[in-house]
Amino acid sequence: MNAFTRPVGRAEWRADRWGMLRCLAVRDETPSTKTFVLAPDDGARIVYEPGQFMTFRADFGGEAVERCYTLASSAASERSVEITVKRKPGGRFSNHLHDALVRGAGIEAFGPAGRFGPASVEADRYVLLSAGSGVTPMLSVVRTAADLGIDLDASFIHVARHPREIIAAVDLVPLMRRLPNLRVATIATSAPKRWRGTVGRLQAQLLADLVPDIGTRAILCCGPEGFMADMKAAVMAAGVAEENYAEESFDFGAMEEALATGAGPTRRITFAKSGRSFDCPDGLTILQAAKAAGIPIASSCAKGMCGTCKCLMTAGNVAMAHNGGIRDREVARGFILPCSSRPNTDIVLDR
Amino acid sequence: MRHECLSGLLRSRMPGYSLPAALYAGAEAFEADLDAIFLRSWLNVAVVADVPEPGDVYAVDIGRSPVVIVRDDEGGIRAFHNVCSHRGARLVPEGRSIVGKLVCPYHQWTYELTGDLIDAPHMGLDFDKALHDLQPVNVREIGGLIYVCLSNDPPEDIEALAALMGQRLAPYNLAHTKVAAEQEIVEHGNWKLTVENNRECYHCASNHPELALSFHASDFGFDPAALAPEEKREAEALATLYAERTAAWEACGLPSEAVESDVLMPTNYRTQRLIIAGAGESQTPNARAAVKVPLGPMVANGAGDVHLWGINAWAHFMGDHAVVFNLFPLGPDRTLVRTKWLVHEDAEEGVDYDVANLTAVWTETNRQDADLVALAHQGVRSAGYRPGPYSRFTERTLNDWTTWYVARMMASGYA
Ligand code: FES
Ligand code: FES
Ligand SMILES: [Fe+2]
Repeated sequence: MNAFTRPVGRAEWRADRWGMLRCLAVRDETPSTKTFVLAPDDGARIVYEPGQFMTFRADFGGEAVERCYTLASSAASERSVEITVKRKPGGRFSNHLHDALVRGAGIEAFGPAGRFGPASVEADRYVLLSAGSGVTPMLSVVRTAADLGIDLDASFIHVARHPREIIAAVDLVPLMRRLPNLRVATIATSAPKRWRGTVGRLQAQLLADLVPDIGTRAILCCGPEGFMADMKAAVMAAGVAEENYAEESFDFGAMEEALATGAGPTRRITFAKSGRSFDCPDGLTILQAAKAAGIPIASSCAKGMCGTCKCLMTAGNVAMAHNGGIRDREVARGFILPCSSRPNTDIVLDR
Repeated sequence: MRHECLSGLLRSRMPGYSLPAALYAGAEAFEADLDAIFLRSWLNVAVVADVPEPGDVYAVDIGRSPVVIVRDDEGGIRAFHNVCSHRGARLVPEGRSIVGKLVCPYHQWTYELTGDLIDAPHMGLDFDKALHDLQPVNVREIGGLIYVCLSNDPPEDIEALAALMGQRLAPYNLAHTKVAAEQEIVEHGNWKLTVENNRECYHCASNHPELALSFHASDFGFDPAALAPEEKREAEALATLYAERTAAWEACGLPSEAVESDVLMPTNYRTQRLIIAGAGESQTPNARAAVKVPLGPMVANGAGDVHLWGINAWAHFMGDHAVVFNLFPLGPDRTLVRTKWLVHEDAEEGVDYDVANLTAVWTETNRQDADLVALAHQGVRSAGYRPGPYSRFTERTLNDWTTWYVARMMASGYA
């Protein structure tokens, strides 16, 4: 048995819990971007739709940090997934992946999840608009279509800062042979003189030139916020209906932080036995709030898996998103995992 | 040297006689027993009702080896050495608990219920968790009884027991029972004396007045010459009744004939469907059923008592409840006997059964047996002890037992 052997009796990878993916290979896409090929050790099938992302987690000196990356691979290949990651200056997660996720190393992963891509916006014809790392879901769309023999009618327009930074540029040529109704245009914001591609900014006029029938197409757009705002305005002006436009931010990091600093109400957490109480600001877990208040709760994984923090809630109501560290019948009896629970009301815990 | 000494003792055992003192009371023999018997045999240590639902775990200590039995997320039964792969801490406390994952209390290494190590904080991204899964233990469920074997080379003759008891126990639906009561008693005697005491009923008439109301002491042998004419007529009538009942039970699909393992085979057992004395329903103070909800329709009425004994366990399966006994060696002179009373999962305490009534007979009988085992152990420690003769009428099975024991020790290299 070797790496080529047909896997037998493969289970399906569980998208609803954290699992371990092993890095099978790493390849350079651009000087600052790498693609990582990942697969579960047990050969489980990872089933997903192009446009879905997975969440990855790594430990930074005791602090678990999570980042989402869209899968760039063909969804037809369920044996492995690929993520394409740009090394961001000062970005500790992307730097960590570039440095430590070598062939054979493992990384914790959750998902696939999310809804973006042709599976969620149904149409006969598409425009795929991407900038920078926003190209990854589009790559999955075209790769999947080619592998599944889907006759994808799409104009794929990708913007990079520099020709050097065009991800998977060479991969697109053979894909066009397999997808006769796929047209690809790459645009560089700046380029050396001798470059023969389109240079400039992607504006309404250029968009109309590249895709004259844009008003009849569904638009999938992925890139930085500013890029997406511009594109949305441009395609709406060109007559695209609201429901035919879908976008996805690839900067999940920013999204997560936005979530955590919500402006909802602060809840009061009371420990019935010790009589201590503290405030839990909106967006924080009970464990995070307890730590911030200097009140100890025994914990370990902080991700709802180990059950170390488990305790009985005698009053209140929480939103709990755990990773199997507690049983449904325990929840039915009133137990919660404070590390994975955000309060919906004031809370009393039996501690 | 050690082996030579044990070897001499094992070889000096006289057929038909109890064992030499040092095989019962000696520390060296105890160590050898843990190795040759408890690390190598299939042992009944639990019942399915100990782990009814996914996430239920049940931990027992077999000698010095803690073992955890797990009902996994798919509903399967697994067993592992109850030892963390990090630095060996014991994972789960003895007895029953509910877990999401198996988490070591020391540094929170976290294992899936499949034994897969899924989290090992601070071990680095390149740490290969797959190399540090929990060590599995061989496990077999036979008709609702859970057997484990700590050896990597478990005796294959378990198949015979599985085929035999799988069929005999099926009508008792142990998968749909719950543990209605449980008791632990530490007997002050060697585990082999506990087994010997359990395998004869020579002592029953005089020591177990409560059990005698529902149990025919003569089931396990008698000397016809020792009986008064009236007793003799009774014994003959019972023998005739056995022939009739056994044929009738077998005819309606309830296997009943006595079956014993070959004395020289590693997996030792005996089973037979016994006639319950008195009112004939159950081992209770009035021999009537203690539980209103029967274990299964086929055995709801007059199906007697399927008795089973094995290396470290004995049990009675009756129409209304089952009682399962497991012994665990604690030391040369200390043996834990754990008794579980199983009733149908739908039976409601206080409504369908009364725990005191359910447990009355064996609570008394266990206490009486513990006293007898302690007396026997006090005797074997004495300078005055000599191996004594087994009755060929009432203690034939003890001779088989000691023959089996010596054969197992020899097969494991102790003689
Ligand atoms: S700390 Fe692990 S479940 Fe809460
Ligand atoms: S000994 Fe179990 S985690 Fe350290
Ligand atoms: Fe007894």
